[in-house]
Amino acid sequence: MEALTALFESGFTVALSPDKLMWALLGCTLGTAIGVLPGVGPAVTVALLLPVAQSIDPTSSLIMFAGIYYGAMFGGSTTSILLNTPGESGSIISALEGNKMARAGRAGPALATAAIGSFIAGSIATLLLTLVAPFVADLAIRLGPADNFALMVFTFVAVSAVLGASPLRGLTSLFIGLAIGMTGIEQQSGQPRFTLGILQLADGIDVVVVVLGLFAVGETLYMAAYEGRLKSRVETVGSSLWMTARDWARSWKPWLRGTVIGFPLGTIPAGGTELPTFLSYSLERKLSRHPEEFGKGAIEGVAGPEAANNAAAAGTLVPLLTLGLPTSATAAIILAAFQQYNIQPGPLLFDTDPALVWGLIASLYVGNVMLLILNLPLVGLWARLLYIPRPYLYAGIVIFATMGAYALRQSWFDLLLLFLIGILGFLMRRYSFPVVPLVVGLIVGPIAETQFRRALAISEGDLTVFLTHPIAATILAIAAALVIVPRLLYWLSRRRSRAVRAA
Amino acid sequence: MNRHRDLGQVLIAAGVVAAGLVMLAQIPLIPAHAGYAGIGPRFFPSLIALGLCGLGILLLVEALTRGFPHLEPGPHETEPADWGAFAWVGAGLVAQMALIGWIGFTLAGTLLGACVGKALGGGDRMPRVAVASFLVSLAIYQGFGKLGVNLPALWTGWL
Repeated sequence: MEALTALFESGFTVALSPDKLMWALLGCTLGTAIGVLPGVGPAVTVALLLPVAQSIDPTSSLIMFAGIYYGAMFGGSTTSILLNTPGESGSIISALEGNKMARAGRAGPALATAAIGSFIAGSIATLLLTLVAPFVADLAIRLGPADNFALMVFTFVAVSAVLGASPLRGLTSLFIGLAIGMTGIEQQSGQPRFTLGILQLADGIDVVVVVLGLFAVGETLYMAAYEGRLKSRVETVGSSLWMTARDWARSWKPWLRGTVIGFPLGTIPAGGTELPTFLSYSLERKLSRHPEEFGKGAIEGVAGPEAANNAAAAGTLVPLLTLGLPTSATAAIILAAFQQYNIQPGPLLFDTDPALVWGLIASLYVGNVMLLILNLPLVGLWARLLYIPRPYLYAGIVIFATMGAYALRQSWFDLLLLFLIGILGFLMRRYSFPVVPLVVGLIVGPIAETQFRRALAISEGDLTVFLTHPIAATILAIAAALVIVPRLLYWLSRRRSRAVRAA
Repeated sequence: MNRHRDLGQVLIAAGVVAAGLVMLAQIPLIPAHAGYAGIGPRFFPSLIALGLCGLGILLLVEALTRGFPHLEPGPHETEPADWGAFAWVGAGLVAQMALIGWIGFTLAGTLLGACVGKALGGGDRMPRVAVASFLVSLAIYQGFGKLGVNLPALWTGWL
């Protein structure tokens, strides 16, 4: 309950002040717009705004960034439903049922169930965040460097090996991120590493360049190579957004179930908002009284996953704010924003800067209301963004990306890096390497190294410190199990089926 | 499973190994006064370089035997790659990095946008995309300039 007092006393005082309301509205509007636009996501947008954010105070810019993050979850569903191309990775699954509904002339109810479900899930999940975060922060404050390092290893394993089709490709992506993160002057010893004798590399490779290169330039190169000639079809919103009584009856349970699935999966470092939407979808298909409608436009298949992705987005803020651990690309770049202000998110933040933390959390409640208003009545307006022809859209995306990269230090060298990382992004997309592990490795790698060396400094160089500390040892054991157990099960089941075949 | 070997996969796996080897070769260049705990600035980079080599070798084995498993579906499976369009985007980026210091952000951005327009929309669309790119670049130069972002100009304050 202490949390609620803090939320109302310091949080809403900050979040409801006129200038903070304006930043939240700006963030929500931008977030919805980029959520709707295919090809730009929240990570790119926050990366672009990082140079601008230097001239704004930390609380305002973080409120804006959180608005972008939440807004993209709302806006992404519009694109999934009307265009059958997810505007954002957390909306892939809603494209399945939502677009079928739109083709059957039921775009309105699909958009409505997505927006209302997002609002309900977002609000409940923000409440859970309010209650859980201080509790986790209290626990986290007792963690030493060895435990923190173990947690980061766990994050690495979870984002790269658990999710995605191939743990090998996930780990490769992670290690590329770690390698990029190592480049430049090392913080503790001041020694340059992997600079290849190039002066510009001494400062390291900025996360902004990496995110813009991977997501904006990489995506454009992919689009040019493979999709330039494909035609897409935009469905119309139609006249009515009203959901019938039957739509409501079929939606409310999936909303709540989606929230219950999304929030916890968002909090554990298992890679953001995609997994919960897949789980929610398959659960709804199992529980539905109309399983025959799935694949043809079942409203449950939109309501559940859309609730789940918003709840998961709120969930990812728990490890970000309490442990300083990002579990999605957007959370990683928001962490970079904190670092830019020399603010270290983590358990201490709740004590050192309660106005910022609680103001940010309170703004999420406010933002959810704004987003519902922005998205439901104005959906027709957002849908118009889908009619921007691809050449214009991608020309704009790339111009913005070069602005973001160049603005870092006014150097053409960052534009070169942007291009090279864009080619890397293209190859990763083409050969199904996930990019989230790369971004997380890039941001968390250097922090992990610091924690590792601090732990060893305390133990006077004794490497067993990670095994003798009970918390660290437990976390590392779970991380190891995450890699080994699924492989073991697979191997056993293959052996069994081979034995059956032999018999 | 007699899928033909994908040369791209083999090259990517080899590239990962090569990146690991390049990193390994760089490690002796890192000045190595070991820290207080005996762990110096070489320790983590060595781990990562070895990790990349190992992962690259495993990828190489996959690529040479059954191919990468569980690839995500996408238009690259059905559409032939349009390397011309790819090159136009690349040319735009290279032109922009070469010229931005000379002709300023707005005009370099216009050129880049025109190249992307050519890549995605063909020659007919290019002039109109170029005009739009000019307007967007100008808006960025003016708008972000007021927000404290420093961009190069041909004519300071205007273009």
